[in-house]
Order: sequence, then C-alpha cells, then structure tokens
Amino acid sequence: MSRRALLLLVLLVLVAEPARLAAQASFDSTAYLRSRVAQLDSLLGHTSASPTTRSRVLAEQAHDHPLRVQVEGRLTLAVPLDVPAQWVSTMAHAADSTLGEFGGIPDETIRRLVLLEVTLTPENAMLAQFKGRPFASLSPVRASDSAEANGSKALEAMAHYFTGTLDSTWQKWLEGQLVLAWNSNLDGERALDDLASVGGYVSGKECLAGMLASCRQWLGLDDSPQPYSVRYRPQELVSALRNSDGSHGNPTEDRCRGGDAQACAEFFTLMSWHPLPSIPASGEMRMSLLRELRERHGKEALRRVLADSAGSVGDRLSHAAGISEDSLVSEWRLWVLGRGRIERVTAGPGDLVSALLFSAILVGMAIRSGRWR
Amino acid sequence: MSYAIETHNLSYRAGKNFELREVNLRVKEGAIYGFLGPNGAGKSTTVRLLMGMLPAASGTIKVLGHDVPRAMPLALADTGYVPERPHLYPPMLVKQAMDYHAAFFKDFDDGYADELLQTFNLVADARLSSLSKGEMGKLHMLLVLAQRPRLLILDEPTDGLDPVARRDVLTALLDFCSQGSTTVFISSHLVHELERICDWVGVLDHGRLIVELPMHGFKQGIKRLRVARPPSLIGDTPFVLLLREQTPYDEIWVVRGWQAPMTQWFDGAGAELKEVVDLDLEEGFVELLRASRTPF
Amino acid sequence: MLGNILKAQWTSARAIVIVFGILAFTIPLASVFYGGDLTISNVFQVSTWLATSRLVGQAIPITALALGVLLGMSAWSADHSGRHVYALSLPVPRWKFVLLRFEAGAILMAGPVAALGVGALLASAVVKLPTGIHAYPLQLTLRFAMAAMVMYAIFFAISIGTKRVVVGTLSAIGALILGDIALGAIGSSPALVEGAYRLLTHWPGPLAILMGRWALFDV
Repeated sequence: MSRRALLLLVLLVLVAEPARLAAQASFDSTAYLRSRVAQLDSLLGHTSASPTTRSRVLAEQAHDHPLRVQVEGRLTLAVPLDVPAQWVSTMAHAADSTLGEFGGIPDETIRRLVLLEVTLTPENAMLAQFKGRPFASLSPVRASDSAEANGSKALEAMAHYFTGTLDSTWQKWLEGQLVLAWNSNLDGERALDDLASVGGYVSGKECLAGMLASCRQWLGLDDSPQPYSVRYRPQELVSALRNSDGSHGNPTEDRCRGGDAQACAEFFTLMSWHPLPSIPASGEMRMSLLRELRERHGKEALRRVLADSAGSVGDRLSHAAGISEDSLVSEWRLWVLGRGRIERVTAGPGDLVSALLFSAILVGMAIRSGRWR
Repeated sequence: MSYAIETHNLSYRAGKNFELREVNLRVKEGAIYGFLGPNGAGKSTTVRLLMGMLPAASGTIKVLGHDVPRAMPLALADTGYVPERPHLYPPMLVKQAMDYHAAFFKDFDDGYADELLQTFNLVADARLSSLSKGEMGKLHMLLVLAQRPRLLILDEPTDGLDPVARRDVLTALLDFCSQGSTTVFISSHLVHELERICDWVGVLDHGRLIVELPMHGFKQGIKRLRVARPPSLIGDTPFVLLLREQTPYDEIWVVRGWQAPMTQWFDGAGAELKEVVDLDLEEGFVELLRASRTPF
Repeated sequence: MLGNILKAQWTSARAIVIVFGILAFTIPLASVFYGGDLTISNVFQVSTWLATSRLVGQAIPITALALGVLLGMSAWSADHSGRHVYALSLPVPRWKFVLLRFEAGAILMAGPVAALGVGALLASAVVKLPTGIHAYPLQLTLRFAMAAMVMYAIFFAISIGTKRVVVGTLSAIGALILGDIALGAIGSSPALVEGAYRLLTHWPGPLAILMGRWALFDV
C-alpha cells in the first residue's frame, strides 16, 4: 500500500515537473522577447524602458560608435547600444544599492564618475558632455551574467577608481583594491579562521590570545618604514626565506639566510619578491576591520577614515572612530571571536534541550500510535 | 457460574462489507470451547477483539474477569495465545525465543518447555527464520503451553499444518488440558477436528453468533426429519425448526433440540414423520449454516 | 525484561551496530590522518588542515543520521512481518513495552556513540594542535549522540505507526512538493518545501542538531 502511494507520488511529480519546466521556459522566453523589444525601442530612439523614475537615457547614437549613456540612480554608465537598457538599469540599481550599504565612498564621487564599458573610449563624441569628469573602465555587461554579477562589475570599476584616489598609505594597506560588498557572516568566519590558522604567525597567535599590540602588528596598522621587522618575529623572517626556493645572489639575502633577521627585513622591504606578505593579516581580515568601524561608528566614520591622509592607518581609524586604536582593535577582535563562531561545532544547551524534547515527543507519539494505544 | 470469556453485545465494523453484530459469548471456566465458522465469518476478528488488539465499536468484553482492553495486561498474564499465523522474531534462535517469552510470564515452566521441545522434535539452536510453518506452529504452541496459562486462545492453530504436525499439536494440547483445568477457546473451520476435543461449541456466521451450546447437545440435538403431509401452519413446536425444504413427495425439516418423544407432536399436527436422520458435527454445522442463511 | 528485549534487538540490529561502530571510530581518526601532517609543524598548513577536518567532519552527521534511521527502522521490523501480534499478546502495559523497546535501541546506539568518543579522544591525543585550534572530542560525541537519538526517535515513531500514519506522512511530503510545483507553475513562489525545510532544520526544529559545522578540530 505504501509502495503504491509512493509510486503515485512519483507519477504525480513526473507529470507536474514538465509542466513547471514548460511554464518556466515560457516565462524565460517572454523575458527574452521583452528585452529584444526594449532593444528595438532603443534603436528606434525611444526612451529607456527602465521602471524607475530616477533612470534616464541621456544620449544615444546608432551609427559610427553606437552607444548609450544611461543614468541610473547615482551611477552614470556608457554602454554599447546593443546592451538592452533594462539590463543596464538592473545592474546599476544592484550596484547602487551595495554602494549605499557600504557607505564609505562620498556621494559626489559616485555621481561624478562615468562607468565606461571597456570597448568604448572617452574620446567618443557622444561623451563630450562629460569632459572634465573621471571615467572608469567597466567590464562588458553580458546577458549570461546575473544582475548581481553585472552589478559587481560596476562595483569593481568604482572600487578601483576610488582606491586610486586614496593616498599611498591606504593603497599599500588595501593592496590596491577596496572590497565594497561585505558578507558579514562569511567575513566573520573567515576572519576567525585566518586569525587561528594563518595566524600561525606569532603576531596572530598573540592577537588571538588577547595582546592588542600584536593585533595592530598583525593587521599592519603601523607606518613603519621597515614593516617586516615590526610585523614579524626574527625567526619567522629567517625561516620564511630559508624555506623558499631559489636565490637572487643578493648579499643582503645571503646575510638573511645566514640568520640575520634585520637583513631579512631590509631584503623583503626592498625587493618586489618576498616569501612573506607585507601585512600578515589577509585582505579580508583588513576589510573586516573597516566593516567593524562602520558597524560600530557609522558610515560617516568610514567615509572620514577613507578621506583621511594623515598618519598611519591605525591613527586614521582611531580619529575616525573617536576612540583609541587599541579600543577599536579590541572591538574588532571580539567581533571576530563572536561572529566566527556562528556555526559552532559544539551543541549548545538549546540544541540539547530541543533534541531531547523532540525525542520525548516522538516516543510519546509512538506510544499513542494506533495499534499501541 | 463464572466464565473465562464473556462478551456482551460485542460489535465491530471493518469497512462496508464486514460487521460483527452483538455477539454474546460465554465460555465457562475449564471448558474446551470450539469456535466454529466458515472462512470470513469473523472468527479471527472476534479473537483479536478478545485479545484487545482491535477496539470494539460497542459492547463489553471480560477475559478471566478482567475488562478488555482496559485491564489487558492482567488478562494476558494468564492467557496463552496462538495467532492464526504464528510469528516470532526471525533472527532469534529457538532457545532465545523461549528465554524471551519466559521473561514475560512468571509461571513459565522451563522443564515443561524442554520436554515439549523433545516432543515436538524442535532443535534449540535452530534459527526461527529457518523453521517451517509447521515447526513455527509447534514452537508457538510450546511457548504458550509452557507459560501454564489459565486460558488458551488458539486461532486456527492447525491451519496449514501437515497431518503429523497437526496430530502433534492437538495431542500436546489434550495432554496439557488433562493436567489441569485450563479453559481453551479454539477457533477453527475444521469441524471434525473440534469434534474430537471440544465440550462446547459456538457457531459464527456473517458476524453473528448463531448458536452456542454443549457439544453433546449439538451432536445429538440437530436432526434432519422427513415429514409427509406437513401442516401449512406450524404453531408451537417442542423443538426448534431451523430449516424447511419441500421435495416432490414430502418435506425435509432441520431441527434443533430433538428428543425421541417428540414424534407424538406430528400425530397431533396431522403430519407423518417418516424418517429421523442423525447428523454428525460437520453435517449439523452445514445444516445450521444453511438454515441461518435461508430463513423460512 | 529489558535484558531480553535488548538481546532480541541485538540479534536483529547487530550488523548495524557493528558497522556504524567501526565507522564512528574511524571518522575522527580520518580527520587527523587524512589531513596529512600529524604534528602540524608547518603553520602554512593549518588552514588546509582545518578545512580537511571540517570536510571529514561532514561524515559525522551523515553517520548519525543513517545510524538513527536504520536503528529506528530495525526496532520494529521483526514485528511488522507478524503485524505486531506477538508483541501485543505479551502481558506488559503497552506504553511500557514501547518505552522498553526505545530504551533497548538507545542502549544499542551507545555502542557507535562510544566508538566515536574513543576515536575522537584518540585522534585528539595523537595530534599537537597549534595555538588557537582546539579539539572537541566530548562535545562532538555528545552532539553525535543527540543527532542519532533524534533520528532514531523519528524513525522509531514512524515505523511503529500503522499504514495510515506512513501514508499520511508520505502524503504530507508529497502535498508540499506538489503544492510548490503547482504554485511555481502559475508564477507564484511559495517555497513551501523550503519553508518546511527551514522549520525543521533551524532551531528549535528537530533536525537543527544535524545542521551547522561538524568538526573534531576547530578554532
């Protein structure tokens, strides 16, 4: 009997599933047709099919270098004319929303920048109206990518441009790229992993143990001209080089291999190649520090710190937050320890109580079962 | 009078096609009660109701003086039950099944169990999954007899067994009954089998208890009569007229509660009693069923 | 009485207990050996090693789930073929008999749970952990026991049920799937199955204990 019921269920699923797929297919084809109509509308010179009032097409040109300039929210985008206006609108709104959540880039900067699709050039006559405004290169917008994926391209272009406007201290600390989309849970988990595992660096271990000075070293918040000697312990520098392959025949390198840690620090600072990163903490860890600043002290604090160009990164963070560097680092450390344990390996009292309670309920149901009543 | 089993207006319904209607069973203590009925009459359903395995729609059940199903564990403590299809746990060995069963019955007689093991030719180390149907039936009988119950409820205990196994089981049962005053309630459609061992009989058909009487009354009281010139209107009779069939020359009557002096009634009624035929249990059973299905 | 029920249960479930006992003992050790470097002397390997521990750890809830399901189903499988008639003819209050059967199954489950505990303690003892990384042998064992217990209780309750219960459970699941498909086909997105899944797998749902990260070693 139960086998028959199961068979019936499978049959129903087999019948219903193609219907659902067919419905989905018809939906997709409708969307495709809509996009084609929007594309044709654009070619005929109609206004954009964008659903929002903040969206508008500034100019279009259907010959020579066919392109369309579209303003979506705070973003201005120039794309080839064969990219449907609807796609641009969707991706731009996704990107603008993330920028709003990030909150560290001034509104003026976002509004002034023109995101120019990589196949187009600023010399295009259609773009003359943007003379004097900065351009950033936008990767090609594709139909095969989701709105979020295309939106990420806009964010990357924005982040690349904005990082370029920051001073060298920021650029070194950010290693050339600011990440604008933050996943707090993932960041927290990775941060704890980094701290505990990649944090095998002594500064990381000490940071995990609660030594805030080591956290500062680990995060590279100082502005030392010889960062390696501050952020790593002598033995770490020597063993890192000894464990690496190849030699450059450099006398400083030879001294380092001989056990001179100061030589190692000098060698790593001067050379472009080195077996240790200049900052022990990963890029994600540093981003999580900025995230903590924004969460605790607001978007304004994030905007202020990125606009600051005086002192070390630590000093800037401290000024922006209005608290000491150690207090900020301590807040961040507690956040890492807390958020990193979202998925605990241990069962909490709630889990145990729930498991026992449900077991008891199920046994009760078993006792009440028809033939056992 | 105390009864080992007593039901009052017991009713049960299963689907649209089957109904047990107001069954009033009375099984005296110490009796060997044959519960007869054709296949599908409701015998196993009645047994399952007595064992508390089915909920009655209405009516009451008392087993060994205990209300069923409310005080079922008390009733079961003194009841040995062999179901229609004996089934124990297949991965067990015979001796493990005996230990397992013994754990639930405080009066379980290990010595008697071993004795029955020999009698039934069962191997203690055999796995139950390897036993034949006959061996499984014998094992189940062994278990319930060794628990030395006050009441044995046997549902078609010999059904499907080969003649040898059937003889072994019935012999063991009779032997056990001769040792004490155990009440036996044995359901079967094999009438001749019950004829040998039962002292009471109840007949169930289509969910109704047609008759319940001592075996001697059943065997001797049901007769087939050949009656010439029968009266068109039959008033009070000293016997129970169960069935009346016309033939070209006379009528065949099936009656219950017949005694020899009753021949005089025919003289008074202007009829002629030409022949009185004795029926054995099986013939009586068949006539009883025919009568219950074709009321005149 | 419990002893006899336990023996009976053991005869029908010993293969499950033995196989899962071996599995449960092996998995924590695999977290160590599969990860490579036993002493973790190389700090660069720690991250990979942790990831391996978590990967191997995924086998633990699956083992708990399978153990619970199989023990739950085996608890009444012998009775099913005889339509529970023998069990129902025994002179024990029925609630007590069900509890005894549950208890016997839970005791059998203690074998694989203990095996996991021993394996986890052994694995924790043979590895020298770097700062910041901890071993959770006892917590993991407790969680494994609870997860297996919940799954055992679920399938114990289902397998004791009548045909009507089984058909009802299957129908409810089928109705959810069909409802989802039907509503999806008309353009709505009700996510009934997803909703039910969330309800079951998020605290205080019964399956929440199975979810999340399972690893012998973690930060």
